[in-house]
Amino acid sequence: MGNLIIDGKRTDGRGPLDLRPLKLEVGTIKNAAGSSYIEHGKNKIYVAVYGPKDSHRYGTSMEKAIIRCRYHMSPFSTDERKSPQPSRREIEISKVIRDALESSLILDEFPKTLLDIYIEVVQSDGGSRSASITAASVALADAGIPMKDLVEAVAVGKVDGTLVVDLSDKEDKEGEVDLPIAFLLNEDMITLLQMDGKMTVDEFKEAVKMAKEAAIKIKTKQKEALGKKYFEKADEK
Amino acid sequence: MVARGNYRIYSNVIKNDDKFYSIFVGSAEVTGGRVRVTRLSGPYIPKIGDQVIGMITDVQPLAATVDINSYINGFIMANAFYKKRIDPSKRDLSEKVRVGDLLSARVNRIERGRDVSLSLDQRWRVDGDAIFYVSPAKAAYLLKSKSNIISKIKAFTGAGIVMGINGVIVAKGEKDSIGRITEIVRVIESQVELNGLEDMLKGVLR
Repeated sequence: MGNLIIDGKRTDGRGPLDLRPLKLEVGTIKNAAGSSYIEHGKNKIYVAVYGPKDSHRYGTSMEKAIIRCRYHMSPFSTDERKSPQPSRREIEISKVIRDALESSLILDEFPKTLLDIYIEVVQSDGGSRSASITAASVALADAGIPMKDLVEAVAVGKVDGTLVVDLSDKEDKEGEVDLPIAFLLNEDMITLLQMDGKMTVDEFKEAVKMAKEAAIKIKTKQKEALGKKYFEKADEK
Repeated sequence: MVARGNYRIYSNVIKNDDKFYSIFVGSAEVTGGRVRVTRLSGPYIPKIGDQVIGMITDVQPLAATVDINSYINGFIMANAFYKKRIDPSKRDLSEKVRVGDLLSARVNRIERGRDVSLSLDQRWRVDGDAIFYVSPAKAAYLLKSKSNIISKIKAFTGAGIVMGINGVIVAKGEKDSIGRITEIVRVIESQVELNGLEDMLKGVLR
């Protein structure tokens, strides 16, 4: 503790409001209906979307398509080997990601169908759930699923008493607060909010504001990535 | 965001206050007070009146299930094949069609949560030597194009082509013509932007 921010700079040289380098690609997996690949800091994540497909499985709805989401970390994604079996954490994140994405999608056009989202973390760093949401939303747009808006997620945290955006693995583990937030910017809505640690109400309000600014930056990247695949010049859409 | 102001919604757009947002990745157009977005990706979504090419996947005594390259199956009642009511105890649909047969049909009725009901075209049986799939957005664009690109492809390759709006292309012809069609389908799939597609194809067909 106490050595995560020195002279206003973080351990990796960023200022409190800077994002880690972000790279997004669309259409990386040809077999899937829609896919994307994100590199966010040291995170390397593949997302593949299959469907909507006809399903007679128990639990399908007459109202809309059912989403299944699987967030999985590869055994080689961490420093120490991780058991390939889905852990408690992965099951929770799968559920949380599904909920964050579901409210952005317009699924009533596809009754009695299934939509599968597979998220594979190949290399992990802090904030893999927010990077997964950002990438999965782009993959869903690539698959042609109607949506109200792209979802972009970012984690804000408190490190050494300072609010910082986009936590790295070290800051996540040693910092005081971790607060991942997902936005639907067009609708001015929040679709995911989890908090680990304690902060005051004022700090919380400031944190949400900071996250929103970061989300706007991420959204530009998402649009650029989609534009790169679908339009030769990425223009305002 | 596609547009801001007082417009009527045409297709693939949602309204939030006075702003209009596209719900798909696509190219937007604002014409005559209306906003529309042409979809560039995604599965075929059936609409009433669409002409589709399907493959029979299951034959029951009274109906056949058809794969129409979508998230939902199509079905055709047996009497459509006989053009009259039939008695299932005397006749069996399997004498008319078999699994794997290709047919040309129109979307007749859509009910929520049920297979799409199809009606047969006048000459419904589609024969072919090769079957290709292109993205439904491109198929719709090519079929609606004013310069009659399909007949140009036919003339260039010397093969018979039937194309459905669901993105299925069935080709019939010699080995050389099929080879040329394979090449053209590859061109169609490699071009991402719809607007350049027609010019690009014209370049290849020359």
